[in-house]
Amino acid sequence: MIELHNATKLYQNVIGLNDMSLSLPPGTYGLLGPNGSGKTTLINLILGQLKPTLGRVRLFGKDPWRRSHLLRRVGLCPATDIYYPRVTGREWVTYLTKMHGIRSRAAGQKAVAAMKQVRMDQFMDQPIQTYSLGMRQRTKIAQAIAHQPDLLILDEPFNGLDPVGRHEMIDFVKEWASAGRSVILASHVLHEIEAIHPSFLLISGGRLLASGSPQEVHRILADSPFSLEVRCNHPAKLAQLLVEQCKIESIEFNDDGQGMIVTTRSASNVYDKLPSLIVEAGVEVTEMNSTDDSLKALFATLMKIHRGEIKGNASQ
Amino acid sequence: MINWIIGSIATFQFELSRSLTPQRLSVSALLIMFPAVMMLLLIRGPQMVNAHLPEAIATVHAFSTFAIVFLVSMVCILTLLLWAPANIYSELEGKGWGFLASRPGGRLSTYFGKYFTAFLVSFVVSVVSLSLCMAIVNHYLSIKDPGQKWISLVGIYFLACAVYAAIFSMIGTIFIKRAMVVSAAYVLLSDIFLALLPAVVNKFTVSLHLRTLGISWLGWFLPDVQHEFESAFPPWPDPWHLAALAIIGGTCLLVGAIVVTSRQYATTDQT
Repeated sequence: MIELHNATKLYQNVIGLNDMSLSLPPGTYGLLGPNGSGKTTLINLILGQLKPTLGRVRLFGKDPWRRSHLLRRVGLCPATDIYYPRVTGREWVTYLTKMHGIRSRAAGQKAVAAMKQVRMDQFMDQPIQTYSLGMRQRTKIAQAIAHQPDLLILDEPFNGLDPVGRHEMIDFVKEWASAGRSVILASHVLHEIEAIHPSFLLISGGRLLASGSPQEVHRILADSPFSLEVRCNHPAKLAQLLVEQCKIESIEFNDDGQGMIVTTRSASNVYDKLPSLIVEAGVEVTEMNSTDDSLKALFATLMKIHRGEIKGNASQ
Repeated sequence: MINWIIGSIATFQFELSRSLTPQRLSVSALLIMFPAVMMLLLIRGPQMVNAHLPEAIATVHAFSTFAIVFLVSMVCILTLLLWAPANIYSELEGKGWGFLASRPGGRLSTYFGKYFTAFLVSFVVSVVSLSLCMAIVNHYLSIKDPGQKWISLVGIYFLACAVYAAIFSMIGTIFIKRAMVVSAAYVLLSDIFLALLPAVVNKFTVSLHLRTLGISWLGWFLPDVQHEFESAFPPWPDPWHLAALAIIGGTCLLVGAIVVTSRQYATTDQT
């Protein structure tokens, strides 16, 4: 479905995408990376909106640059918000559906069907400026799916959504994918993508750092250096056992004497042994959490693996 | 190809419906009224100061057609400057470009759809403004053969709107952020300065061909001695001027279409 061969995109002196090679058969993909990592650049290259400075890109086996007819098979929901005062959701979606070369009446019917699919049919005759952020997101999805594309690309679809909106969005993507159609979901929040169980593409600094199944990503995370804050009544007892039986880099006790921060090179090793050590030490644990933001930690690890500073199990 | 034809019509319809907002209609109304009010002041001014100013009234009468053409042309150019050069920038700024460009032929559809909208809006504004002006002048001073003059001027404004809309649309694809300024500068440099130069270069300006056609269709409408100015106009037959305008407009539209399909427009939200 999508192929990149050493694709590089330079914005003058800034690298948007750096020597990326990948091959994606039809399926569900989570494009994960921090802000500014190159997700939108990659999407724009796939859609032929940008031309690679080096290398080549193929969409459905063809170069998408200047072959805009390929876009008939793609639906894009960009990260950008909608700014059309006084235009109703139905008018806007119908207009964008007509832009696929679909005649007026059929476009109108498809637009209404798409608005129904995203549960916006009750509000579709109201101006977009009166919509909440969640309603605008759903309207954006409607314009992307109205022409029934083979591939749906959603760029940061969870931005600004409340928990209910996120849940609905996840359900929608799952439903879309279950119908055998392909989805690429770009986000900078790991757990949002995790809920859809896609194959992961992890990019940072314009590079593809890793790709693989959710299990593989969890393995990478588990084997990443990370810090764990444990709050308990006798931290010294637990610390002694941890040092004896786990691969611990450092332990820093809290000033209040009720906890510690454990730094390890192998999270999985600590996670495996920690429950039995807590029982053995006879301590009462009140709180335990990772001090690092999971995605930040993951990308820091992947960058180190990429540079060869540490060994990893990532697919790439 | 059918894609971008349907897309262009869709864009045209969509943009046209968006033009019918109170704000945009107010701007159009102001532009339409401006020449009419100016003509009214020109005609009624001398009469209001002193009812017995036959020389002043005669001068206004002599220059009335020129004044109409000058004022309505200003309105025509101003309307086009408001609508045509911002064709791409308005979408990039309004974050709509990502939605439009991700359609098959979406870039061309947007470009041509907005071109036709700019053309139609400016033509309608110019014709309504012209009609009002001519009605006022005819009421107070009586124009000779007003129907014929109106038809000739409508023809001139049709051509002017079509060609200038193409030029400004092309400028809009090249100079994204300063398109309106560049378009205004183009009008000043090319159609006011270069077009008046008695040199070969003036034949490449739109203004010269429009003025020559105007004189051919309307007759000499200034009180000056005609032969002093005749050398400033090329002695070509009308179809040549029409062909020159078609070539200029067509080339600009084509260049704009090539630029809009091959340029990698930077959207602001890169993640």
